[in-house]
Amino acid sequence: MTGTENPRFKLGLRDTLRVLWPYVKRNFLNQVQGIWFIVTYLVVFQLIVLQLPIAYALMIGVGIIVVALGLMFFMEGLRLGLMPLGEQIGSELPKNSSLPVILVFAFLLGVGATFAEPAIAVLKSAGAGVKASDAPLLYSLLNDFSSQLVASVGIGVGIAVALGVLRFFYAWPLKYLAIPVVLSLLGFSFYFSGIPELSDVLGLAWDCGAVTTGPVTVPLVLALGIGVCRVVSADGADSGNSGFGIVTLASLFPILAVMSLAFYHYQQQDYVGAPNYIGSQALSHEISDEQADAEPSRRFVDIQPSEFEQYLATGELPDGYTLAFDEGNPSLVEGRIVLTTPKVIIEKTQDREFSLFGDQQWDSRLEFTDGLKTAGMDALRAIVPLCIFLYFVLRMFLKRRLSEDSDVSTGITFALVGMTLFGLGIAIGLTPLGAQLGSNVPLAFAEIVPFGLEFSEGPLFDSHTGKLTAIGFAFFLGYGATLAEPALNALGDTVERITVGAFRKKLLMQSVALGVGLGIAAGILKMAYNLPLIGMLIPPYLLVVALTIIAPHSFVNFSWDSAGVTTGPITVPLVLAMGLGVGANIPGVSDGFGILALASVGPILTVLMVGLYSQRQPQNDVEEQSLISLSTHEAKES
Amino acid sequence: MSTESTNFSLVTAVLPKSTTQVTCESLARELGAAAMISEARGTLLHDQWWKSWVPPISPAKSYLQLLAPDDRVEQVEEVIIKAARLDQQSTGAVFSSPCTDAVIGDDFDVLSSLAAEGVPVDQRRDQEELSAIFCILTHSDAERVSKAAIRAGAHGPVVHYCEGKGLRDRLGWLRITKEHDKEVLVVIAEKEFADDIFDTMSHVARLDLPGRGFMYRLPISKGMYNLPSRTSQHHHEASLQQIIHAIDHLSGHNNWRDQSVYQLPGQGRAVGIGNINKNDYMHQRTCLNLFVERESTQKFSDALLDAGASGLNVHYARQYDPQAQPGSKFANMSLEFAVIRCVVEPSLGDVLADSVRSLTSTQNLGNYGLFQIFTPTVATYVPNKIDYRAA
Repeated sequence: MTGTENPRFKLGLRDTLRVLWPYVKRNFLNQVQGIWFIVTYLVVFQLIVLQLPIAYALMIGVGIIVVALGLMFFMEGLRLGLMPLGEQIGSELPKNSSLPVILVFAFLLGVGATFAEPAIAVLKSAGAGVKASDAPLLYSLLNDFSSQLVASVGIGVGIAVALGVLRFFYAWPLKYLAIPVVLSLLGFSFYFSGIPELSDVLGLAWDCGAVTTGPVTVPLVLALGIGVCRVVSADGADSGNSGFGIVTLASLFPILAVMSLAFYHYQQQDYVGAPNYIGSQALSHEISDEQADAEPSRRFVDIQPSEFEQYLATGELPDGYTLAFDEGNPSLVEGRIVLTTPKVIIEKTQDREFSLFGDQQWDSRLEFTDGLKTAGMDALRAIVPLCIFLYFVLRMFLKRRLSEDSDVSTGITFALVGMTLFGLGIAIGLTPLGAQLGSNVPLAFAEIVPFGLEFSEGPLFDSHTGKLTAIGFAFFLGYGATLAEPALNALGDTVERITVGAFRKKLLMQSVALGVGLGIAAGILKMAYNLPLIGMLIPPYLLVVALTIIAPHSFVNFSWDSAGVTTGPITVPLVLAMGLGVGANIPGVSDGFGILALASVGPILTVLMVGLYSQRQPQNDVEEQSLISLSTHEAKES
Repeated sequence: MSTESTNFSLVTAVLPKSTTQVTCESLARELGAAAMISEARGTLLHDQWWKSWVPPISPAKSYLQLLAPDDRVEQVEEVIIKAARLDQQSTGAVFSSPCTDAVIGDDFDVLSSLAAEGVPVDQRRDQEELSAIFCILTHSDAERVSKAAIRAGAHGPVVHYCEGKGLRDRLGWLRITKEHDKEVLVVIAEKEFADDIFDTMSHVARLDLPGRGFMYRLPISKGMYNLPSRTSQHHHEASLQQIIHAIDHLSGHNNWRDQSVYQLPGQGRAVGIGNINKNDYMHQRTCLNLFVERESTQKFSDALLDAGASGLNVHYARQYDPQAQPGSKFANMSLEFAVIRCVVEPSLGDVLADSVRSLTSTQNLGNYGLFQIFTPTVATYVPNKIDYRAA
């Protein structure tokens, strides 16, 4: 048997397309299934509830199709390229290297992944409204010490991945790792909340945990864990279900890291305004800058002289006017209030025709090629260095090659193409849509100038109803955006594959999405009524800890991991746009932090509850089964 | 290089996942045997519509495979039943299928016939007259076919994943279009029900159409099963098996069973004789099984495909063997194996076996087990069955 080749079929173009078409269609429809809800929901809310036109409709439409295409390529890229690569390395490492080497590798992978998908941009945009005078330490962390912030998050993730891998070797159940960490985090948070400077940082710290795990990191880390667990079958309560749990730790440890960093700077007193501050930011300048942007809101249009003349001539008022009385001397005359010599002011209100689409179809500031270039660079930075690192480890360290038939390179190309398209689609499609909605939602309870319009419109509802509308909107926004999240999709696929379909992807996705929805609604509630974050965080986390203690180990793994993956490239811009929009209309709210942290408690709760609910069901079938075996015995005897 | 024997059986067991570790330990301790472990799930249906809001989380199972000499099969089954407590309700199953021919590589860890003299066997537990049905389907079909099987009287099928190999692997870069995981439904049934279940499943899965799936039966020499089908609050509802027995008893014969209720594609049902002509089944085939190290999967599957196998299904398993590396770096390293399976004509089976043997001797591979099991019935789409151009 020398040199035999598999007989390869050569297909013509026509047959190639026939093979390819069902595949493309299946994958594209899968992605459409994920994103249709959020898109439809946003459009319907804007048009029907807020009754506002959609600006840049054409651009958004194109963008959403590009998002679906990008997701299609990216998910296939994960399946064919990144995950097999990670899994192969995970399964080879324990065979060929010693434990310290593996831990160093895991640490480097964690750090690398953080730098590849920098969360700092997200955090900066969440803290865009932070004023140095209100929250000096927070401001300093985001500006003066931003590189230290990224570094500490990176180190946190690195330690987490290393610890997560170590966990597989010794079969430590995730419960016993996660619960102490969470409790100590809560303890620190409680302590921080007593000190004004430190309490500002809490939101940032908890959000760091949520945003560190992106669509490239999560699948890679999952695959690595699964690979390790294929070979290392640790006995113990957790056995077999492992492979999960790294993501959990990777979203808890950065919180600790950021808190430590904040505490260090608090001790050193070297943030803005503190005695040892050496940065360049001048405090007073900052304040004057912030005060300047109080924008004039114009509710009325000028009545033109021609209209006035027409009024004088015919006595006909222009369309859409309001009448206001001013001054005058009120007196009670024969049971009636009579105003003598009042001033009557007639003003013309802005009259807007309802239309589906705004005037502008394309945002002129957004160049398509520029968007493509940025998205491409982001994708390259997120994927290529990590893959080179992994390939280097595989080739040099483990002395393995990728097999000839391997689709890893195809997969990585797919992932690159997918991530580029995805980034582009988000930039021109989802973000503009989410941004205009996010800034329009406060219309429900405040008077604002809607996006893309020139005149302010009044609150649609009274204050409380309006805020409740916004909170309800936030719930569905979180729900829909989560269903489209690529990292969660990858997690769902992995869970389904590892449990051989016992835990369905759909069930996981739905319960996670429900949880995120609840979390984000809670976050908007916090902003709308300016509640303290600590009061919103501690009760649900205590509940989570309690449920974790009684839940079976496998559900603990899934549910904590799903908390880490919820906040990704789709959710974050949509939620932040809304959070900032709401925050800007509530006095005393300066930043959008905290929503993402709440959005990651929600899914832990819901998945654990679903797990507990369905866990108690299979016990009911025992009796019926005993009847069956009885009957078969009878059958044999007779 | 290898030993050949006709006196081997493949012992397969389905266990609750929580007992896997215990079972493997006691297999190793009492018999010195190491089993191939892969992940599987059971199937459960809800019987109330309002429960369908939350789809059932199917019980996690382990799927154990183990080659044992014929005269040790009973001991192996006994150890498994005891350790995994399969005598308890809704736990799992264990069964053995006799191999017609087995080739064991020198390095392959197989149970020796000297082991386990001392293990007593409780004869009452095992049921004779069983048959195992294996049905390979895509994800989208698996649930529907499982439901149909349950309606036809089977227990909830045990499902494990496999990777199909064959056609699309030969398409060059287009192989990316392959759906990676297929589901293998395993149903154990008493022989008298097995035909009905087999017919229903092949009908509902539309196995007479191309690209739908592949189904075959393996004989069981000894085994027992204890698997549930649905979650139920109705403790005293009669099962389908009980009803069938009752009708048999009342009518005095079981000819009425030919008039079965069939689930048609879509929502309809029909009573009557199934429209799959039973002559369309293929008979007298052989099921070729190959245990190899995971790294060499590609080599072996290429060799089998080159030698003429039309398709393979591959699933991966780990071998738990606590005695293998007592001084290794980590507590429990497991070996990874691939289980390659294909069902072919007996003559081709021998050709394939030869190709594997020549590959192992040229490449000096010793850690493999190759065996064939007689397969009475196969249902799948057979190309050229109907020549449309001629018609």
